[in-house]
Amino acid sequence: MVATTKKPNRGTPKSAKVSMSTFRELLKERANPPKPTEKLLQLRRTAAALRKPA
Amino acid sequence: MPGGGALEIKIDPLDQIHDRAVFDCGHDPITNFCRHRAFEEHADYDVRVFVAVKPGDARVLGFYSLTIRHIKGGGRLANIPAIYLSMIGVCAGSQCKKIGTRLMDDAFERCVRVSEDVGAHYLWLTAINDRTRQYYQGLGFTPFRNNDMRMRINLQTLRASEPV
Repeated sequence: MVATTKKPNRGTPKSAKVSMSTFRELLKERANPPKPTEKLLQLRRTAAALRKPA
Repeated sequence: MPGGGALEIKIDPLDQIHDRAVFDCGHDPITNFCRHRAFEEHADYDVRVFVAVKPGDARVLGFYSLTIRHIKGGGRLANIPAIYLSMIGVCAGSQCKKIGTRLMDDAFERCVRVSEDVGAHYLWLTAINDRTRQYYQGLGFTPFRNNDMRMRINLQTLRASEPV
């Protein structure tokens, strides 16, 4: 038997492979990011309020 | 004491003192990761794990893990550097106490902070079912393509969402 230090497959993808069209969309979005949704803003506000000491 | 049924918690990097043995979020892959692999992968820097605990109590109530995973377009296109939220879960007995909200917010804040030092454009994740997919969509995550469980959000969008 050969000893190995190789780690077992841990189930995390090595990368996200996407189509060319999606990739181009992502490149465009980098320069023009979407505005935060109301739900995201609400989450951030709620968390900020919870962090504050009473 | 936080209002609205919220528990007073703190979020710390995973440590040996944290008790993960009783963690159960009701989803086996996430539960098993937390109980059996989280510390090893955290210690090896394969992922970094952050846990929610009550002050003075080592039991893990929730956790999330982050790692670097690029987005690849194939061919000669360069990769887009990105951060992967590989796991997030809240103990079944502690749900509806805003722990998930705190963990998501902490992950967002951390990703934005990291991207000031290490280039990254997106945070992405894989939704575990349609319900979580819809939840993430509400937060502004977009599937890579129709019906894809893999979803991303622009770190500039997260940066813009920080409360002033």
